[in-house]
Amino acid sequence: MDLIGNLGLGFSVGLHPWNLAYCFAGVLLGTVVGVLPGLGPLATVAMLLPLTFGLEPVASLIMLAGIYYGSQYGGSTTAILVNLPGESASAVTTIDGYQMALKGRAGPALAAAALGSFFAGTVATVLIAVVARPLTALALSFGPAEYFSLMVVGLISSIALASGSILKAIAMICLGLLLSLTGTDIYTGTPRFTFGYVEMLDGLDFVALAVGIYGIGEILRNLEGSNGAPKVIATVTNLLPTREDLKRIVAPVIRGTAIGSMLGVLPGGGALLSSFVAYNVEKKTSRNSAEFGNGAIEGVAAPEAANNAGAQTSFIPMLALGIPSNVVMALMIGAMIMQGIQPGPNVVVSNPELFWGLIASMWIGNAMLVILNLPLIGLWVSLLRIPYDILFPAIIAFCCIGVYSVNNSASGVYMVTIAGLIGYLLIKLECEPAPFVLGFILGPMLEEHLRRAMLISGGDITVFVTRPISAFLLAIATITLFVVSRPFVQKQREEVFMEEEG
Amino acid sequence: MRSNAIARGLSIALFLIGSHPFASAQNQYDSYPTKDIKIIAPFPPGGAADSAARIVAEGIGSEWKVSVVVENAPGAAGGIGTSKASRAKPDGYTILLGTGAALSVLPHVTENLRYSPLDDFEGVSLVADFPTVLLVRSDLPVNSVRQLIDLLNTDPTKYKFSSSGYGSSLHLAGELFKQKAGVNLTHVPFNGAGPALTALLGGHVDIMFDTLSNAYPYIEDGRVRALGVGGLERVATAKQFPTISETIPEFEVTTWASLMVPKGTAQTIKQKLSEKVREVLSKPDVIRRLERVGASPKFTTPEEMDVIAKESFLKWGEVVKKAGLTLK
Repeated sequence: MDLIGNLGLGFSVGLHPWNLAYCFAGVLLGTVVGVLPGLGPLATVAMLLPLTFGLEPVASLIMLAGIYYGSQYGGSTTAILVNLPGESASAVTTIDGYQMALKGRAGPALAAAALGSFFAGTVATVLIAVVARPLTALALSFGPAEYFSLMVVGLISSIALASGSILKAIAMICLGLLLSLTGTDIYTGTPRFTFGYVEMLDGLDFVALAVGIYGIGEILRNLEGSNGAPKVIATVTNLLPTREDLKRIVAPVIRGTAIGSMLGVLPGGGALLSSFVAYNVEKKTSRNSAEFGNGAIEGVAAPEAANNAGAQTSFIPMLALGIPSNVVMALMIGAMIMQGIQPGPNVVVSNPELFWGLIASMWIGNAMLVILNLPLIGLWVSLLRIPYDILFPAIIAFCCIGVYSVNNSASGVYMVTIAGLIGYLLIKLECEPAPFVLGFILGPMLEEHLRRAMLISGGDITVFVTRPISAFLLAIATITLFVVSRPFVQKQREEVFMEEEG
Repeated sequence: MRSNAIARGLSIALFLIGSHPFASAQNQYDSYPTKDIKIIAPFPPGGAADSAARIVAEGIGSEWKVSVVVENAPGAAGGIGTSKASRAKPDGYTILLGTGAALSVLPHVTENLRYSPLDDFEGVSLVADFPTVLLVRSDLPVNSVRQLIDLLNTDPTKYKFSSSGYGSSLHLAGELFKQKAGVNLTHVPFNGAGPALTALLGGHVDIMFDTLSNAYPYIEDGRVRALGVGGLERVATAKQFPTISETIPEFEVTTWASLMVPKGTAQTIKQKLSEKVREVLSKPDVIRRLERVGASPKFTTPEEMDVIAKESFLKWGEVVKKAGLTLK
C-alpha cells in the first residue's frame, strides 16, 4: 500500500541515470577502499564529503552510502585471498576464509561471502523500508529524556565494541567525552576550553579528528613496520560453490542477517560487532562446528551476512532519528546538514524522495556489488600490489584536502595532524580508537539531552524513569552493562579475539 | 623657443607623472569590477540564506560578466565568516553576506569575536529578509496572539519556547516577545532550527519562533499553528497571517541578510554594487526564485544600510541587556 508507493518513488529516484552513476561510483570506490588495507570507508567518506557539496543531496548520500556498504564486500575479498582483512569487520572472515583458500576453495568462499552479503543487504533494505516510518512516528514522542537514555545505551554498548581490556575502553570513552566538551555551551553560551580562539567556539572538528585518528594514525602504524614481505596470494580457480556448499550456507546466512540487523541499529554497533557475534553464534549452533577454524564455509557466510546487514541497518537510527550509530553515520549526518537537510524524524516526511531514493539505491548498489565482486576479483587483488610508498602520500593529500574544504579553513588541517599523532599513540598503547570517537560524538549529545530534560521537567530528575520509553532504555543499558562486565562473557570475547590473532 | 620646449616638455612630464596615480585610481573605480568577486557567507551551504546568496551572486555575475563566487565560512553562528570578511582588503572584491544574527546580536553575547560590526563594516544594500512566524503546538488551545498572552499570564512558570540556539535570532525573538508582551517563558535552546521545530511537533515545548519558509509545510498540514508574523507588514506571499504588531504595537523582528564591505571601501564601488543589487533584485525571475527559498527581496542604498545596521545593533543590544543575557 503505502510501502509499495513509497518504494516506487524510491526506485524512480534510484534508477535515475545520474543517481545510478553515483551509486556505481560509490560502490566501486567502496570496493577498492575495502580491498586496500589501511584505508577504510571512514577516511574515504570523510575525504569525499566536501566534494559532494555541489551534488544533489540524494546523489551525495547515495554515493557515500555506497562507499560504506561497498567496503564490506571488498574487505572480504582480501580477507579470504590474502588473510588480510581490508576492513576491520572482515577480520573474522580471515579465520575460515583463508583456510578455504589455502585448500583451493577460494572460489566458493568468495561466492559464499558475496551471496550472503547480497541476501543480507536485501533483507536489511526491506527492513529499513518497513521499520523506518513507524520508528519515525515513535521518534516524535522521543523527548530529551528518551534520547538521553538511548545515548546511555549507546555508550555502554560501545564498551562491548572494544576488544581489549574494559578498563582501557572506559578510559577511551572518558577521554572522548572530555574532549567533546570544548566549544560553546548550548544553554548559556559560555565558551569552554576555547582559549579565546573564535575557531574553537564550535568545539573540536569531528571530521578532522576522525580522519586524523583513523586515516593518518593507521598510516603511521603501517609505516613503522616493514611491510615489504610479499603476501601469498592464493589463486582463484573454481568460482562456483557446490550444491552442498549452498545448502550449508542457507541457515548461517539467515542467522547472520538477523544478528547483523539487530546489532547494526544499536548506537555503538554496526558491521564490526555484528560479524564477531555472528561468527561466535554460528560456531556454537552449527552442526559442523568442529570444522570452524579450518575452512568451514559457514564461518565465512555468517559473518559476511552479518557485517552487511549491520552496515545497512546502521542507517536506520541515522535516517529515522538523526542519531548516528557509528562514526560513518555521523559523517553522513554531517553530509546531510551540509546539504541543508536537518537530519531527524522529519526527513522521512519532508524529504521522502531522499529517504526512499536512498533505500532503493542500497538495493541497487548491492546488486551492482555482487556483479562487481565476483567476476572482477583478480582486478581487486592486483590493487594490493600498489607499493605503499605511492599509496600513503596520496591518502594523506586527500585527507588534508578533504578536511580543509569542509570549512575552507586551515585549522582543520592542523587538527588532522594532531589527531593523527594521537591516533598513532593510541595504537601503540593498544587503546581502541573506536570507543574514543564514540565517546566524542555521544558526549555532547548526552549532556545536551540531560540538561534539556531537566529544563523541561523543571528540575525533576525522576523524569528518566517515570517516562516509559526512557525507563525501558535505561533498563536495557543496565542489562548490557551487566552482560558486558561478567567475567564469563569477557573470557568469551577474549577467546574470539585470540582466535583471530592466532 | 628652447626654453619653451623645455618648459612644455617638463610640464607634460609633470602632468603625466602627476596625473598617473589619479588616472589609474579613477580607472580602477570606474572599471570595477575587473576581476572575480568573492562573497563570504558565514554559514554552511544549504538553507535559505545560502540559497539567497547564491541567487544574488549569480544575478550580479551575469550582469557584470565576472565570476561572483559564494565562499562558505561557517562556524560560531556566523562569527568566523564575519570575522574573516572584516579583515579583507577594502577593494570591493571581497564582500560579506551580513546576517542580522552575526552583526547585531552575536557581538552582544560573545567575546573574542575579532570584529566590531559598526567599526569594521560599511553597508552596501539589504538583500532579503526572511519572515519570522510565531508558532504554537497544535493542541495548545489558543488561536491568536491575544489569546496566547492571556494563557501565558495564567501560569508564568509552565510554558516553554524552543529556539535554534543561545543568542540566535529566534531566541532573541522570543526574548523580545517576553519583554513587549510582559509574559514569562522558559527558553529551551536546541542545536539549530530543525531540532527545535521537531520538539514543537512532538509537543515537548509549547511555542517557537521560526522562519516562515522552514515551518510552512507543517503549518499547512496543521501540525503546528501559526499565530502571527514578526514584521511590521503582512508577508506578501502569505497574507493570511496577521502581524504580531497588530496585537503588540512595538513588536518587530526582522531577520535580514545584506551585502557589507570592509570599512574603507570607496564610495563609488559601494554605489555601483548597490545599484547593481537593486537591478538584480528587481527582476521578476530573481524575485520568484528568492521567494521560493523563503526570502523576501529588499534593497537599499549604502547609507540606508548603514542606518539599518546601526539601529539593529542598538536594538538587540537593549533586548539582550533587558533579558539578562550577559556578555560571555
